[in-house]
Amino acid sequence: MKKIMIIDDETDLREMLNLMIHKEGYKTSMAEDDEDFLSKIDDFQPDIITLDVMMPGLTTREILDKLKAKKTKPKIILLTVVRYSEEEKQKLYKMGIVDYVTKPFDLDDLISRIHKYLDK
Amino acid sequence: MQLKKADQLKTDFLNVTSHELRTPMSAIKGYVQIISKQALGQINDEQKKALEIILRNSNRLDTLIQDILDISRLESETMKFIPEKINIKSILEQTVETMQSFTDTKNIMITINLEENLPDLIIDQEQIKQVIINLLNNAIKFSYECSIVTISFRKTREHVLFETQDFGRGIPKNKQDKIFEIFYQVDARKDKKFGGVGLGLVISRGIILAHGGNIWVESEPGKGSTFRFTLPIKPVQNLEERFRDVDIFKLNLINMR
Repeated sequence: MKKIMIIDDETDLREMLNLMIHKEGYKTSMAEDDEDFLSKIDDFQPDIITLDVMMPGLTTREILDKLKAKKTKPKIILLTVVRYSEEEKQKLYKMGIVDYVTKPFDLDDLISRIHKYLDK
Repeated sequence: MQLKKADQLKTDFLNVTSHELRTPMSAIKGYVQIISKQALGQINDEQKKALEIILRNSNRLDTLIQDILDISRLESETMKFIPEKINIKSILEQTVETMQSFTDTKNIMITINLEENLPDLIIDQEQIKQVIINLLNNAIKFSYECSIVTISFRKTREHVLFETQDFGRGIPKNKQDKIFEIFYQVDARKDKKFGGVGLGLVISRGIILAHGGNIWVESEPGKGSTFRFTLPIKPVQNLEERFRDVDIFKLNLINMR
C-alpha cells in the first residue's frame, strides 16, 4: 500500500489532508516540524510527502537538505502560496520537489496529482 | 543596499501575510469539499446547497484577499510577473471552468468564439487569467438571470483581441472611464451586495497595460457592456517595470489608446 507523509505546522490543515488522503485509501503519517518528520521518516518510508511551506521557521531548502541525508527518497509535493518562474521551478525540481499547488488549493486537484506521482 | 533590504522585507511581509490569510481559507475550502463529496456521510439537498453558498463566499473572500495583496504589492512595487509562452485556448478553458458554478447559479449561457490558429503569446499566465476572470465575473454579476455572455478571442494585425459582452444593466457614459479607477463602483449601494471593493478593474488595467496592451469598455445602460483588451503578439519586455509605471490612482485612458 502506498504511503503518504503530511508535513504541516498548522494542525487544521494537517488533519484535513490526513483525513482526505486516508479516505482515498492510502496509509498516512503526519509531522508538524522538522524534528517530528526526521524522527518518523525512516520508519514510515513514505512514497510521497506533502510539504507545506512553513512560515516563519525552517525554509523549504533547509528541510529538503535534511531530507537528502536520509535513505528514503520520497517524491515531494509542495503546498505554497507563491507562484514560481520557470527558473525557480527548475531549482525546486533539483531539490526533489516534483510538483506544487498554491493555497487555497482544490482537494481534488491535489489528490489527482498524488495519484499521478504514485503511478509513475 | 538599504533599498534592497527594504524591498526584501516588503516581499517577505507580503508572503508571510499571504500565507497567514491563505491557511484558514484552505481549511474552510478543504472541509467544505470533503463534506460535499459525502466523505463524512450522506448529505441532503439543503445541506448541499448550504455548502455551495459557503464555498462561493469563501471564494469571494479569497478573491478579496488576492486583490488586497495585489494592491499591497502594487503599492510596495513588488508585483511579480512570470512571462511564459502560453496557449490562449487553454487559459480560456481554465477560466471558464473556474466560473462554472457562478454561471450556473444565474443560469447564464456562455458562448465562446475562438478564432482558429491564434498565436501563442508570451504573457504571465496567472495575471491574464485574473483579468479574464475579473471581466467575466463582472459580466455575469451585472447580467440578468437566464441571459447570455459571449466571449471571443481573435487576431488583429499586431494584437490578439479579447472581447466579452453581456446584456445586463450597462454603464452610463459619464461613468465609463471612472470604472477603471481605484475603489470606484458604478452604484455603490447596489454594487456592495455583489461583493468586492472595486479593485478588479484597476488591477486588470495595470496588468494589461504592463503587457503592452489596452483595455476599454463600450456600454449602453439597459443594453449591456462589452469589455475588450488587447495583447501584443510581439511581447514587451520588463513587465514589472511597466507595471510600476502604470498610474493606478489617476486615469489617462484616452492617451493610452
